[in-house]
Amino acid sequence: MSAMILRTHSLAIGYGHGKLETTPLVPPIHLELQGPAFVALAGVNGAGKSTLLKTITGLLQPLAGEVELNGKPLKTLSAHEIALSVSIVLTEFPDDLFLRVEDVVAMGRYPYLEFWGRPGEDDRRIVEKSMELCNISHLKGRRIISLSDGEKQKTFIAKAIAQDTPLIVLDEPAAFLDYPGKLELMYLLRKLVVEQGKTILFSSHDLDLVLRHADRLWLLAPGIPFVEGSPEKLAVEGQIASFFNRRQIAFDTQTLHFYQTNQTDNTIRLAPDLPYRKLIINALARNGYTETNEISWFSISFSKPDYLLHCGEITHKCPDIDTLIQQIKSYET
Amino acid sequence: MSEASLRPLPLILLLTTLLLLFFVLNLFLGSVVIPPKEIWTVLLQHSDSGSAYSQIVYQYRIPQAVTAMLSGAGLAVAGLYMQTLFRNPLADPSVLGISSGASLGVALLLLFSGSAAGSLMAAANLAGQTSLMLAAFAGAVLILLFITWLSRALPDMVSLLIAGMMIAYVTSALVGIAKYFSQKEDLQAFVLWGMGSFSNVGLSRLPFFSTMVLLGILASFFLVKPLNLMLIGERYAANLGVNVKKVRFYSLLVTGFLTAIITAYAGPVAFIGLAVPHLARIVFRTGSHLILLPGCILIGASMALACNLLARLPGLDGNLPVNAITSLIGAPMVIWFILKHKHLFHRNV
Repeated sequence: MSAMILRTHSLAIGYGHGKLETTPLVPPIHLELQGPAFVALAGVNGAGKSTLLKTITGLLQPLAGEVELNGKPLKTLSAHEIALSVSIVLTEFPDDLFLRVEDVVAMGRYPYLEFWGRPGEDDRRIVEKSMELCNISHLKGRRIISLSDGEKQKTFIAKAIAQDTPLIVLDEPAAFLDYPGKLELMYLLRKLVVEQGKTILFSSHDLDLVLRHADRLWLLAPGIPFVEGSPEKLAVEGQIASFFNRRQIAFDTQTLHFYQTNQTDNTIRLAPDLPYRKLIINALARNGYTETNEISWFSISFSKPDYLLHCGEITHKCPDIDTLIQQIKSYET
Repeated sequence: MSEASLRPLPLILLLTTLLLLFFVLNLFLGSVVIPPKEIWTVLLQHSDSGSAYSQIVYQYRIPQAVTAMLSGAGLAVAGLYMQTLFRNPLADPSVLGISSGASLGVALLLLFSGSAAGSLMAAANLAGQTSLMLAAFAGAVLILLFITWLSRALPDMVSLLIAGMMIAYVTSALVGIAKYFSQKEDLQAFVLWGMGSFSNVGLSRLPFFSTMVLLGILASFFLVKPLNLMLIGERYAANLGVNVKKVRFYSLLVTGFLTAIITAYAGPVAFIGLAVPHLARIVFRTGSHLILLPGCILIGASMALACNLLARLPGLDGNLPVNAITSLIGAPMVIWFILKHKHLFHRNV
């Protein structure tokens, strides 16, 4: 059972400057988003990711064109109706001294509350459940300012869950997290898609992360038409490479990885049965060497327990990858 | 969560008792020493019987205590909303230049009336007092209208804060010029007004003043829910269905109105608006306006009553300036409070 969560038609985004002319950041965007889905909005810094997210959540007026939430034009929705359709998670966090975790999560219930904003029994239960889902029940009673960035992030995701909207939009949620934190975030978001039937849309400039985890990818770059598709499809069609085109940076369609193209012609021949062969290639690539099948000045083989670096006539025994690299580098000078 | 929502009640009761105590003390103590028994007798008569004691209680002490109570409550509420609105702990009712607008109104009145009809204030009569308050109110409202108009044109609260401070500078400069050309007697009247006093309202003007302040405080309750959401940031609030621009506008209007009316009648009373919201936060340990609003009303009213009491200590001839007392007592109190609760300001607890 999939539902039309979001649709845009000829949407032009950007900031209007009063009566001055307004230039859209990117060509008009047509997109359709069926839920539940796990979608990443990727693009270089300044491509207009935040602007697009603000526009489709109604925080910013479109320059032209239309946004539809759940099949209804955004501009006909009241602020209250928008609050029930889409929730947001940002990277800015409150600095109030006394705001506690459960207070913030409970704010997700405000659109449902009466005049004074006091939560009822049902609301409390939903708040508890949202906190459990995000694994932050143990943070109850803690003040927001005392939390780590990752914990704050999870608190606001719990707020979004308590808000109980089909669509949750996160602006750069991974920006301030360490690597395990990023993975944890991705697993949590995917869990929400799979178990709760949510549609998650998040922006990120971390392409490695996005390519690895998202089901759908939206690509945004200044002046280039918007494209969308699965990471694999976009990779095969060469869209990803062209969106992130930089000198000396290339995209490997096979592994969905970006790598530095070589400035040098250094090649090295590797025996096919090397232990940790991929790691060695990685380490070599970082130091400006690529693998070759041709006869080469350098070659590496393995004889338990050592790597053997053959350099012309000479052979060096190297017990680990570090010494191997050091040995190769010693020839450079 | 249930214990968090229960805990404020005993504190509210305690603060209410404190407020009542200060109110009663304000009736019993004053520069004129009246035996407590006489005061009871006078109070039990329920109205001014014409005796000297009765006159003091009904004409002076009750209006003064009520004025102090309402002014303290109103200024504290205004300060709380300014701090939330600007997300700035140093914001208070005076940041938008509204109280300096009141000063300007008074200064201009003294300047023009002085040159037209000699010294207005030489005879500090009732008509003089009324026109002085009207001028202060007009000046404050003028600046308030200007600020609310500006708030729609300016992109964010920081630029509005800067604009408000600039307005305050301009009005103070104009006040300075007006003072330079004013007569000596009028200058003294201006200085007296600027020192702040809860005795200016008097019995005749009390009904109007009370109605206005109570209306302002009542209106502030309508902003509790949206302002709570503003605590987590304006974009989150907007996403939760709050019309941020409207809330900003009405908050400015309500706090500006409270500041204008209180400043006009009691002079620019410093400090309460800045300090009381902080005290309330520390006492109740919450950011929720649903609790902080009544908290600020109770603490603000009690503090103003306490200061009024000190301003008219028995044995003193006349009243000390309220403005001096609020800062003199309040500032050390806030420092002591912060020291005592400094663990609350650490980010890692």
